[in-house]
Amino acid sequence: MEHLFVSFPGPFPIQAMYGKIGFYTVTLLIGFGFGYMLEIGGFAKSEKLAAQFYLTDMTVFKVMFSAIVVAMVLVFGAAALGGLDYNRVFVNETYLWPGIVGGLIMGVGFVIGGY
Amino acid sequence: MFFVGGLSVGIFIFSNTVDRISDFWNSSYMGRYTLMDWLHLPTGVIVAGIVILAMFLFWGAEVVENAVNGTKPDKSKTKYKLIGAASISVLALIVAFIGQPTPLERYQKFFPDKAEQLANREVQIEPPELLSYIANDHVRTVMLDVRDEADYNLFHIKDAKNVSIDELPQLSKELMKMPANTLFVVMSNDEARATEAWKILVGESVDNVYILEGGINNWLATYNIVNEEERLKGTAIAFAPPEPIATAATGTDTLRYEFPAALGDQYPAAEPNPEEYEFEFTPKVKLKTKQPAGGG
Repeated sequence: MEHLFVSFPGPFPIQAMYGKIGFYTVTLLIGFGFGYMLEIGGFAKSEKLAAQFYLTDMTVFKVMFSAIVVAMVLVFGAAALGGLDYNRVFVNETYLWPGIVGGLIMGVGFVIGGY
Repeated sequence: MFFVGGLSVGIFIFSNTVDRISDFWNSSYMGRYTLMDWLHLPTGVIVAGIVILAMFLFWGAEVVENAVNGTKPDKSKTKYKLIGAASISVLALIVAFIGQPTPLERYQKFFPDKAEQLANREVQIEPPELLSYIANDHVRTVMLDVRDEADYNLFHIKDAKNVSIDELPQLSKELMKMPANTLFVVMSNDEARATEAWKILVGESVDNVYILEGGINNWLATYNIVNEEERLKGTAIAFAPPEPIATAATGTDTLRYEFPAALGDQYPAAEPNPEEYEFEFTPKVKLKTKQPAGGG
């Protein structure tokens, strides 16, 4: 049992805590939940994604930014209260210009793919 | 069909040209770079700022949406939107108000086991153990000398880096990126300041940080061996009367030795030949392999 508490506070080492099967179960559940939410939000329709760029439907923007804001407040709230070790939270590394160019390519692809 | 065709052509073009763009692809690398690093503002201010920005942008998005579609604003859900906006704003303000823990607070809150190890003197390594790791090619040893620059210039162990305590929180981000087999050793004249530095690094979640037991004074007591000729000419570091190892509690954290000149790492004691000494010490270093960052 002792190893369960070694890295408290979070992020929790799911694989060390519950083993491989547990790790897959947790990731599968989160992935399924995420996909389900996108699906019922209508995000599986390319028209909806493209509509964002024609400024006729701002749902994508609102959902994504809401998710960012909620996650941000919860992450830093947990860190402030001592429940999360922010230094160990994965932050994707920044490659500034490649990131900008890649984002543009993906955005253009969204619009074209959505007709 | 058209879509799949495009996809295949795209994959083909990409895979055949990726080598040519890889320079650009890997360019402008900034590592773990966050808004806090960019704007140099406290985390709480950023959190509150982003939330306010979000509210403003949500409102703006709906204005744009209605303008483009030529529709009238839908007032039926205004109440829920306001409730949502108010609750997230209040939470953001609470986060900003509490503030993020400082390294020392994090050390006290998150690492009670480390405090125990410190008290049991499990993290203070003897000079021979440090020397054995300097000589060990399988382990990268990073020595952080947290004394004043003046003391550092008088004498320091070869390859030790002079850093001030204030720089440590920023430096810890670099240290965390180093390979898992990296050993960090902090040192001061005795142990007091090194212990402060150790607490900050531990609080910043850096693994494998140890303190040089008895600090530079103890290192010199162990390795400052000069011959009679040098001693009489006054070109060697003076002997200090033997004293028990000064801990953080007992030491004054001042340099007990006298130096003929500020030669830094040019003294023999700065770089003792590992082959000339026997490694007699109680091993304390337990290298911990890296726990991957979670929550990606």
